[in-house]
Amino acid sequence: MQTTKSAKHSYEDIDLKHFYRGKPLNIALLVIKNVCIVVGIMSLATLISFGFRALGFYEANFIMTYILGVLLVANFTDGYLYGILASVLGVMVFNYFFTEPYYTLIAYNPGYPVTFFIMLVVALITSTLTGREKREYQRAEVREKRIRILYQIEKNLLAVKSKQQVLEVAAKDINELFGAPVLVCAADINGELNMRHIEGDVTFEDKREQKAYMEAFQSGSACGAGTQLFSDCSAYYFPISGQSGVLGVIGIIFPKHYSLSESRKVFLDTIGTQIALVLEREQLYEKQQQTKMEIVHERLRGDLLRAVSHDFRTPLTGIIGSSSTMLENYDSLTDDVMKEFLQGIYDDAEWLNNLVENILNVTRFAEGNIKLAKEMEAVEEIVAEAVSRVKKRSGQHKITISIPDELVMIPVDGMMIEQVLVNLLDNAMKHTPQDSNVTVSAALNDKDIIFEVSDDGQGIPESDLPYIFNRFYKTKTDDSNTRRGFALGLTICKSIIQAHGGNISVQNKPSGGLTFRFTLPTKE
Amino acid sequence: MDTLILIVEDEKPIRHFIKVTLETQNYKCLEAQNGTLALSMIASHRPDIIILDLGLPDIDGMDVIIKSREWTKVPIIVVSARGHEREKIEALDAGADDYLTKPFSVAELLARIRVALRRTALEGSSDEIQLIFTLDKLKIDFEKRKVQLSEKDIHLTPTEYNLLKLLAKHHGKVLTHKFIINDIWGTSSVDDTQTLRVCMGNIRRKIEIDPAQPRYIITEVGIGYRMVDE
Repeated sequence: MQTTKSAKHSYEDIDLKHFYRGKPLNIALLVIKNVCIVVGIMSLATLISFGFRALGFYEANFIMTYILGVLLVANFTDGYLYGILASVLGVMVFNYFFTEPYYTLIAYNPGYPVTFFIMLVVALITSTLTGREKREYQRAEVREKRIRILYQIEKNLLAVKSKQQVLEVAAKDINELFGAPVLVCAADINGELNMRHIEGDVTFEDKREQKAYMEAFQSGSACGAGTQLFSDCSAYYFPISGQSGVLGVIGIIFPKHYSLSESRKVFLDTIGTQIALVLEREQLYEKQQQTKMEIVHERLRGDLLRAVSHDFRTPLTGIIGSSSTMLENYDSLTDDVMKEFLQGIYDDAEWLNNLVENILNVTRFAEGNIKLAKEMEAVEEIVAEAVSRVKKRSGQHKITISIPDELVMIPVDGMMIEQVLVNLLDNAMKHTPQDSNVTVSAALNDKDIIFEVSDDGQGIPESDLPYIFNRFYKTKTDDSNTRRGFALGLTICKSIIQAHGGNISVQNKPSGGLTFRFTLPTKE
Repeated sequence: MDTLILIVEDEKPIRHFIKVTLETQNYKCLEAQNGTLALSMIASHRPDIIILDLGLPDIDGMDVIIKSREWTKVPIIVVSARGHEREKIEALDAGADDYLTKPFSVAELLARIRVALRRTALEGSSDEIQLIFTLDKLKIDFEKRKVQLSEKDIHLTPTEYNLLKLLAKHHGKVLTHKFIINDIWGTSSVDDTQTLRVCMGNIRRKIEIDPAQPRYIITEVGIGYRMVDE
């Protein structure tokens, strides 16, 4: 925030400060100050002229001295008035002190009226020109300062990451700039004026104020204090207008006596436009994200349907085939054959059940916003439950567990992470021969916990590694006798881990076998 | 006397397979395909165990639990699908004794029935409070408030002891987080679930050889805890 700090100092000397900071300007004091300058400088000119006379200089030098005085007055005072005053005063004093008869306002020499006249005109023109020059300079300074302010706001707004942040940064900047309470609100994605940020005052919570800025939002024109509409409100509200209409409203509570000139309103509008640009940018981004999300869900749904037909048909064919064979040939089949068929039906049904559970998880994802039921869960409980679920069908596989000795709690959706482990364990068991070893481990890192599920099977070809999390991936080496691939399961693992803000990867172990590794943050 | 089991399930194939299974184990079975019929059969036949599917065509399975709990303590085992954890918790809190997740194996079903029967027998046999609880190598002496594992004393904090005692008293039965928190801490809020998990982690470190493969206290993810029965 170093930039805003230094910026604040540069705003301090702005001419607008008087108005913006809202300090009543003491006019009497200003007049006295200016009159003092006039009197002081003209007296000095008179003194110098007296010096010149003592030295015996020519009269023209006195005139030049007075004109120099007028020029200085015009430069050091505010407004034309004092320059004119100095011009007239100069002519009169010159006449009084330095023309014969001395110490009167009468001049004998017939040439003097002309001298006085020319002197007055020269003095007047000089003072007006100097005044205008000065004014121009001040205006340029104001302009430059305004541009600096706009630039500063723009710079701060560049770094924002969300709409809410835009409001925050804008409100803070405007507040810093004017030293007045500020409200910045914006329409949400549905076009309702629901997002807002207030800096410095609670007056904005008033019903009356809310009505005023709703009006500004709907009508697209300024209202509130200093305007015709809702003039009894304490804040001035003006819309943030972008290309697609009104995006939001800015409200500023200026001090009571403060007058909002047209040029100031224009300046405020410029600030509004700048914020509008950023808001529009954010809005576009939001919409884009939403569309992206929808596309992902749409694809997921499509894949799901394909997966259903693809992965369901095979086991169902098995079940229908085996059971119909048994029904039709009940008397001719031996007990052993029947048992084999029954085992086949049982296995296929198990498989289908597993699939259904995974599909249920996918639909949970596909139903729109991924709502994870996150809670602080103990790692050991999740691992234990996953292993016990898999053990029912693990057959001859040996499952080894290795987790930290201390109790580790992580913020996760327990059911989901359990499903990930179940899928990975199932996958390991499906692709390794009986008697293989499967290891589940968890280890703590700085801010992550790393889970690993590895087996001592053959692993998969390096060229297949990048595709393993793709839907419908099947190892090329899978012969028709082994179980179908578990593509959907791995895809779901990836979705779940990513939804938790973690990462999942796979690699072949140097000693043979495959290792799935996923990380989860240990803090929210 | 034969044990009488009421099967409340609207799907005929499932009802049938449960009945056949139970009859091979010499249990007597009654069938009800809806909740109203189930309620009247509970009143007229006084079954020893009820197996209740929560998704019934006429009335909510939950109502069957609540209505029958008004006058009978008959063990109720609810049947519900995975993913319907909330439903299971509600049923357990409403007075159901146990649950089975669909699809379940025959072995699981029979194990749950055995637990339920043993609990009824235990409660019916004597009003005396059981003074010593033993399970494999774990021994809890309620009178002396002492816990031993393989004859070695285990030191538990008062809360840990109360929690272990609660689970031991209801061994074989799944206790919901809410039930446990209410009993031990007297309140129930989200923070307490975390406290409960930490407390359970500490107990496991003291009584389990491998907390990741618990022998005594099993986690029912999303529901609660259960002290194993055998």
